[in-house]
Amino acid sequence: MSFPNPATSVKLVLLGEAAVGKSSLVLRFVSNDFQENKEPTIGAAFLTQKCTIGERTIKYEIWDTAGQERFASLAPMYYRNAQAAIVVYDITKPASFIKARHWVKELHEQASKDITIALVGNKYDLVEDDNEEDGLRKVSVEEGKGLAEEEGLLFFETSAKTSYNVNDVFIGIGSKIPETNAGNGAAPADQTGGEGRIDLTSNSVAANRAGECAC
Amino acid sequence: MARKRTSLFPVEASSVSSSLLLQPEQKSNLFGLQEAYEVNVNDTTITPGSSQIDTAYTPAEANLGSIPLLQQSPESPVHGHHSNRNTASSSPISVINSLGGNLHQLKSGQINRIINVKYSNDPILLIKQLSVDLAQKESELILLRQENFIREQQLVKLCNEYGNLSTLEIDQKLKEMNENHNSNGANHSNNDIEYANEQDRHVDEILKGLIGTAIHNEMDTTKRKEHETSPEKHRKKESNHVQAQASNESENPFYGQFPKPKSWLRNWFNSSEDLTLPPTTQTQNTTINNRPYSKSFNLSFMKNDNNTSSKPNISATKLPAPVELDSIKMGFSTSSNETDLDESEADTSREEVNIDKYGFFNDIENVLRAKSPPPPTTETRAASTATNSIDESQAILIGNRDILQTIDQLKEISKIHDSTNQQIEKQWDTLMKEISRDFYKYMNTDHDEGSEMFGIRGLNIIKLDSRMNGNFLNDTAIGKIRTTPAGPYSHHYSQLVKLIDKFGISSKYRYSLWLELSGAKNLMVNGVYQELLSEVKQYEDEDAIEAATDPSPEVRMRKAIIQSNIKQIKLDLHRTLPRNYYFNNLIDLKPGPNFYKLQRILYAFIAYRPDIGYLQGMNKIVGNLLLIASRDENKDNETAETFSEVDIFWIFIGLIEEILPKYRGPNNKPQVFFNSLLSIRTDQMVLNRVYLKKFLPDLHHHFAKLEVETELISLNWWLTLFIDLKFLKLETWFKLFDSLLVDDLNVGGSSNDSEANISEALNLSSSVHSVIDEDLSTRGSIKLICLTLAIFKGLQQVLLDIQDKEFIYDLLNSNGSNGYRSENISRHMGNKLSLRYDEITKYSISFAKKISGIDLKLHRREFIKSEGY
Repeated sequence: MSFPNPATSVKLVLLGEAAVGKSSLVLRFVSNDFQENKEPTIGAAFLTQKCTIGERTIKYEIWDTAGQERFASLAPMYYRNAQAAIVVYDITKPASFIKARHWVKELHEQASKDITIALVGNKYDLVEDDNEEDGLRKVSVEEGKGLAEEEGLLFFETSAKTSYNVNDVFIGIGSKIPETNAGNGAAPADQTGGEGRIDLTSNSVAANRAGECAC
Repeated sequence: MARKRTSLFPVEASSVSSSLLLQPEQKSNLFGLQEAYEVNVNDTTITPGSSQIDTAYTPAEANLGSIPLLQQSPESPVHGHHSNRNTASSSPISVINSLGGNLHQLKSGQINRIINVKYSNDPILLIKQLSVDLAQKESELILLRQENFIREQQLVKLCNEYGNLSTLEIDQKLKEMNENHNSNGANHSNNDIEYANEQDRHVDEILKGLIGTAIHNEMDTTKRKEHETSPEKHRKKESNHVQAQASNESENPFYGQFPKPKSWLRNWFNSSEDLTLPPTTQTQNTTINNRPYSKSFNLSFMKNDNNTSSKPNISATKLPAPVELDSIKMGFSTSSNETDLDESEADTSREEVNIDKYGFFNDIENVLRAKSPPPPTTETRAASTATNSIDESQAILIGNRDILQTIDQLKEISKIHDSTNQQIEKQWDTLMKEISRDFYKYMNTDHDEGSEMFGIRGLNIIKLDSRMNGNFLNDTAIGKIRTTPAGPYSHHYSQLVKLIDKFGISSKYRYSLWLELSGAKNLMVNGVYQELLSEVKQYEDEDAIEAATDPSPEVRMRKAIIQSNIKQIKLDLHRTLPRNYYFNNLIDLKPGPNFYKLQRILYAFIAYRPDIGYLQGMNKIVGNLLLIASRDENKDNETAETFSEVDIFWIFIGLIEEILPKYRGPNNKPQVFFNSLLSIRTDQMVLNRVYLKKFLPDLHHHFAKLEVETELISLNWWLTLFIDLKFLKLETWFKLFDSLLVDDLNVGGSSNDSEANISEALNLSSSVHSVIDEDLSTRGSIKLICLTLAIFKGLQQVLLDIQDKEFIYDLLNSNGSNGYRSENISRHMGNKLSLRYDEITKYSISFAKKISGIDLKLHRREFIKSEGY
């Protein structure tokens, strides 16, 4: 892999209710790691990760914010000038989906006009083996998709624990972000097979963590 | 991922490799780290799409690159050595010695001739020979690494348990040695290897010799630095020492006793004469310079190394420099009255697991790995487990010589440490005696608050001072001034503050002082804690049931608020200090005792102040405060009063009500810190855009250039009161907490100013209240602003050297365990960046003199008006 273009910096903010897995999602993306008892984020944490999409290299500058409702008043500090946002909810917690709806609304009203937003239902691992009715899943795929279509968002269901779909979120966002650099047109980013599973046991993100992600 | 793997060795392998082998291009750690990433990138780009990263970055192989032979003859089959390992083991050692590693110095023609003569014109034979050499070297290296790893683990364990040093401190020490060695390490190791070859001894002996000499070199270099006056003599001594040790290595008196060192080490700390130890080279006038730790507290790789390293020493000659350890005697293993634990079981298992004195797991990866099903093994992992499972006795054997040395050093450290602490304690004793004498003499103890000698933030001492100096200030006036009132007779308050700023509160008096200064004692009402708890408990139990019998909407409201808080607390409990034994007992896989204490304190708090409720970050503050309590439980000193759960609860209440800044709410009502996120945000703006710019212009410029938004960083610091900063040790944080409890002297102006304040306060009676109220809204903020600036100033040189925005964020991030980089930073350089407490307070005081409350308020107003945010 080569670096045809210098990396474009993209400011990305994560929003969502407490303990839905925002930090875990970032940790998975940035260092391909998962921690069972992740300490709650206070204020916000800053992390970066590069990601190559087709010919472009994007450097995500990620602000991973605290989830507790009371910190909401600080959120504008973080999503100010953000080019991308990930709104996370927990697919086993309906309340977190309602909160996600609020965040999307706020972002549309307050954040930059051309912000790219991805809606992410996390903790897919908990419902992977669900039978139809009695499972842990409380927010259906349709609900999530519905909201995403309504508001013009990208939509993913992920598991930070198993790493299911995590990279696709960032690839998806990257390929949707308008190109600011004068360069080649962005190639479509479905080399990984759309929303399919990425095999992270080999050398994808973590191995390339200082370089680019597996795409 | 590769980085993760290497981190299975708690003491970084790099310290091993660099002490024994060449690390020719090793820069300062700061940039060595970044370099490592770059290397990684290269690795991945060279070999994409394979799992080679795992193998390509095993430390052993990384080290291989530094073998002279390989390094200087790049044509040699580097990548072939794996397959050749088997041939290596089968070939006789004599063959190895027949060919030196000097091929690179020959001309091509000469090499051709060698091939001709020695290898019957078959170059493949030569290549094979080279790879045999390589494989041999590699196996030696692996052995070396194993042995060193074990040695270091033993030492760390030892230091932890008996030296009462935290891993941080030990790491720091190791790093320091490492650096010293790096400066002349190349030559040393080269000589060592050649020396070993000459001797042509058995490989094992060579290895042991190598380790021995390497360690001695380390010791030597550190000691040589300290004894610059007589290096010759010293070196001689060392070499004699090596021989002496080599000769009676197996007969050593300490040797057999090592498995149960608890008793002998303690005895030995007390009465060292009985035991025949290698003579300590300590002399009278080198005492201060001999303190290896004080050196490493400095940011030793700062640009102006001379200035920084000399400063503390100068001050040290006047006053004993503060020692960050508290008491050498209270090792972790002495804990005996931890009620919630199964004694025997816990104790044995704890000895195996590496836990520091505050209960933090030192080798969390190992613990976690031991407790979870083993993940897919790679070559690296297999090697590391093999290392771990090596026979304990062998480890002792290897570690023995070095342990002697380390013990030697530990002893010196503990001596200095003890005497310094004694001096500090003496100063405290004197002051406390004086205060209590004058207090009973001058104050009417029958008076209402007569029982409190110090009072909230030490206000009673000011009162005492003012009385003794003939100024009879009323309470409100005293609330306003922040120094001993003018007068010739008494300046207890100033002395108290100065002592706290210099050393922190002595552990002997911390209990009573925290309770009084924080206001806890004043607020405390017996039985309230239990009442609050039982109320919350009740709400917790009937979680979902909507009881129709609720008497009033207020009660229903209160219940709803408490329940929503319980929900959030429950989310965070198991996420608080998950790497600490007292919170998360990874050995028995159950919550530790502090987990439940934290839960109860937070529950009681939300019932006590539902208007504040729980805010993330409180868990960290209370959690860390609880650590001082759990540490005290381990003290074998029965006389010392210890913090109970209830004490910590009230201290936390006091912190909120009396210590932390209060802001103006919507109705101009005072609003507590945790309810004032937006005001805190405004303060960050003022702090970073006004004061940082004004007082640390270079740093401000640097941040602006790199687009680092410092207000977002300092906001995090404030919300957790500086907990979890990589460069503040817990010990230092407790002292910072000490300093929060009193106001800096002469805040907001010169001493003249404060005298004016007093006279002003004496004349004003009706308007005093509004003045005090205003004061309330700025006093706490100024303290936090100054501490923040002080930390920035302490790190300034380091930060100015970093040109990478991301790296700065990582370094200053207080959300500790986010991502691999943070872990690496804390492992590689966190120790080095330890800020000294007295340094921070010194800077803080100097800033405090320049910031006035009115100034702060004006700037706040500007920011609110402009609504930049």
